[in-house]
Amino acid sequence: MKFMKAMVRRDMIHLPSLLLLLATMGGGIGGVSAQTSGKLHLQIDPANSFSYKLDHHFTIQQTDLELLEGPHHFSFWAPQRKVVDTTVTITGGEDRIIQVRLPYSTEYLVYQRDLRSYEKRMRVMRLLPATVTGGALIFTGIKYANMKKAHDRLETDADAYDNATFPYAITVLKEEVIPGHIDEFEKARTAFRVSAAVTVAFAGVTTWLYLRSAKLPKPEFHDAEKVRFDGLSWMPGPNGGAWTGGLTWNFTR
Amino acid sequence: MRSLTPVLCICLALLLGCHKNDVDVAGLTSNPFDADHPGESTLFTVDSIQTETYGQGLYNKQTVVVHVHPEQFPAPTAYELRFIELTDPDTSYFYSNNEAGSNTFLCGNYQVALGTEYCYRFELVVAGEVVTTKEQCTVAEL
Repeated sequence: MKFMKAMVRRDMIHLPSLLLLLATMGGGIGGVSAQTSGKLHLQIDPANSFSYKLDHHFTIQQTDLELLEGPHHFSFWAPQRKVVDTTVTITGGEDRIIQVRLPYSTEYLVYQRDLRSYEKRMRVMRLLPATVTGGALIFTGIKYANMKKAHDRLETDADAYDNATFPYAITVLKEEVIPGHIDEFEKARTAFRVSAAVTVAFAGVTTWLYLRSAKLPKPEFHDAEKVRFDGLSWMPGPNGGAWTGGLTWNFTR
Repeated sequence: MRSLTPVLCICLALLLGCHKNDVDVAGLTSNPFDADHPGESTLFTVDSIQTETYGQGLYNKQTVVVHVHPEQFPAPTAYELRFIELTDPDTSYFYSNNEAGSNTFLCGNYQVALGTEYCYRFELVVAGEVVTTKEQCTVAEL
């Protein structure tokens, strides 16, 4: 039996061989060689990642089986899904189709809820402040452009003064144009300084929130149903992993 | 500390980007056409005032040589030189650089009496406005 189990696990089962082995063992042990077999087609949701244990012994992933008649126990499982136990009675010479939809496990639903909460907090602590800081940076850039424009206008005025050949133009420049442009420059510079200070404050807050959010533990999904399904298995983890195991005792036997 | 780098970079960029007002209206006096231009104007110079006789020695005149320096103008422009005889205020003459063809002007006072002091004012006029003035007096002597 150990040999058979090893063969099943290693080669992902060759069903005719399994059936033959079962039949041989059944005939050799019980002397019921008159037993016939029936075919079973499984339609499992999810279709590609499921596996199941047949009669508590063989881990199989195939959808078409040929089994000896009589009751057979199935434990279906897929990642993130609950283990579903059921017993199927095979009638000799009959083909059956079994449809099983594996429900999501409670741990996975809790994990999904925690993950959504974690991502929401991350959005609030990272994306939102970063967006606000980015907006403030753009606003500061606009204010900088205004200030630079006002500064350039003053430089143009200074050049105009240096090259002025009309005394009246010099008078207008010094008494009206340049003072007005200086006033505009001072306002633009004040607006730039205020927006720059706000941007720096936002950047500081963003950095602080970013650092703080980095300490928030990200939810991890531990598939307890897998442990239950696999039995003893190695679960790798951030601290090196651990051996985990599930114990099933069938009191009916 | 590494996480604070973006903040520090933003601060540095903002500090470097902050312009200061380089234009001081009170300090704008470098244009020689500006009334606030400091020092004595050198836009033109009175080179000489000479007294000489004419009309077979019957009359005396004073010839004033004035040299304008357009190279000191902020930009090439048309100008006029106004010559005013202050002793007889009704007498004034305009000399245009376009008519003179050069920057040296000979201004004449054709009725001078020897031993008498004559005062003259010279005005450099640009676009109808007086840019700078000078006054000079001299006694008519041969």
